[in-house]
Amino acid sequence: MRKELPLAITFVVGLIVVLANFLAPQTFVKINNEVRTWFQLVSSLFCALGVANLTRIHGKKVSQQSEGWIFSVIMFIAMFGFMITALSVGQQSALYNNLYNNTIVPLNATMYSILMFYIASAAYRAFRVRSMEATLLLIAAAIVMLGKAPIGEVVLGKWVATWTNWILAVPNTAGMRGIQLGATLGGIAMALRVLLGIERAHFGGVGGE
Amino acid sequence: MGLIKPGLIATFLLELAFGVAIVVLISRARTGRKVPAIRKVAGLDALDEAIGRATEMGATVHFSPGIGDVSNAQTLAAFAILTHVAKMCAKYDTRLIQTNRNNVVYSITEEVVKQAYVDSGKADAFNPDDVRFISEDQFGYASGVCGIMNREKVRANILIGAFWAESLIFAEVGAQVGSIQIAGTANTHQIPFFIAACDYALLGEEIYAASAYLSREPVLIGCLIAQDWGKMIGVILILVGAISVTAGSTWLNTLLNK
Repeated sequence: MRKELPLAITFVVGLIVVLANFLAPQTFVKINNEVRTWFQLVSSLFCALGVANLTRIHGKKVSQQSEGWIFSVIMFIAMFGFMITALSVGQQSALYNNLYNNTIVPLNATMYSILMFYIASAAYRAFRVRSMEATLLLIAAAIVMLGKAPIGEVVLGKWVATWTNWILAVPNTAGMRGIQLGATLGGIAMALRVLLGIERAHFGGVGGE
Repeated sequence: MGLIKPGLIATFLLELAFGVAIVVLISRARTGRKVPAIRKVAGLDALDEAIGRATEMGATVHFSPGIGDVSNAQTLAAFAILTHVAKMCAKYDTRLIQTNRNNVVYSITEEVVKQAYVDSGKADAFNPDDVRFISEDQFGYASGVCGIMNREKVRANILIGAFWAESLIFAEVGAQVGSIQIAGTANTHQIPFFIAACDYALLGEEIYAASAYLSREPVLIGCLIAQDWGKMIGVILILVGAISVTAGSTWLNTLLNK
């Protein structure tokens, strides 16, 4: 039963969700909405698992004073500080919003901004004349970068913008759509394998049984 | 009022046909009929090479299943690859650090890795502290993973699943620390970053083929054949549709929107 029960639950619930998307009768839609609500409730309980894991790992670091343990202390202050603030004054309060807007938002913006430098370093490493394909990539990337930057059109003329738009609209879109087609079918096949119990990696097993 | 929602009849019938094809091919595979060979997928072949490299250097393997939740098919595909990676790491006594952004995914990956170690006869070697939940925040997770890659001597970085803006952060930090990197996602907007920054990239459907490719189970390979059939039908519909619209007729468009 340890294997069969989760597989049966997966099949029944998955079937309800799929049928609710296609079938007109509202019964399936109502059941699906109920299932989604319960999924949100149950998955929110898993937050406790995440907090427990963080507490265990970082607590060990602090107690053993391992390298960088001070950052674990900061993590605890942030995690429990936000938790206590939200529970005591609410997530809509001015205090919580100030805390969030003055810590999380600028930190996220900082990490996002690092992408600018990483794009440059990745481009420097990737755009080399190593092979025919790499040379094509280099030429296309150079045209698109020049076409998208205002200075490109000023220095080189309108043709660079025309070629940029063509590269993005035709070969790039065609390639992405081809990958998307394959990926969508692959996703459907994966979902069917999970529904039918053929794919069992998420239960710690191997597929195909 | 019909049984199927208006506008979804064609989609429902196509998906039903696809599902039936998968079931039929799985049944054929189960009866022992010969299945075609799968083409070489360099990224999946490189998994063993990457883990071997980390083993030789006495370094760590890092695996991320992306930032999608458990209802994302890419995350499910990542579990299949994680099983293989965890078994290889258990076999070679290589440290595996597996990081997660989602709580539910964390609870599943912990079980997947633990079971892989048990199946490899190395239950005692499993360290629950090496399967970590980092943060639900996208860039909180990204910064946590970057820190781990720098501190824990990661020399094999495997990124399979649903990634968004943090994909290039992971790939570049992995390159900076000198890791061999294998990445795969079906998010088309992130594939170019993985191609540019990683040693091996799995494009779209290749991540869904991983369980069949790594296990070579005939039943799973049967599913891949059905996917290929689906793609052929898709290409035929695109060609027929393009020709008919060029000729001034939208009959296919009307039919598919019923």
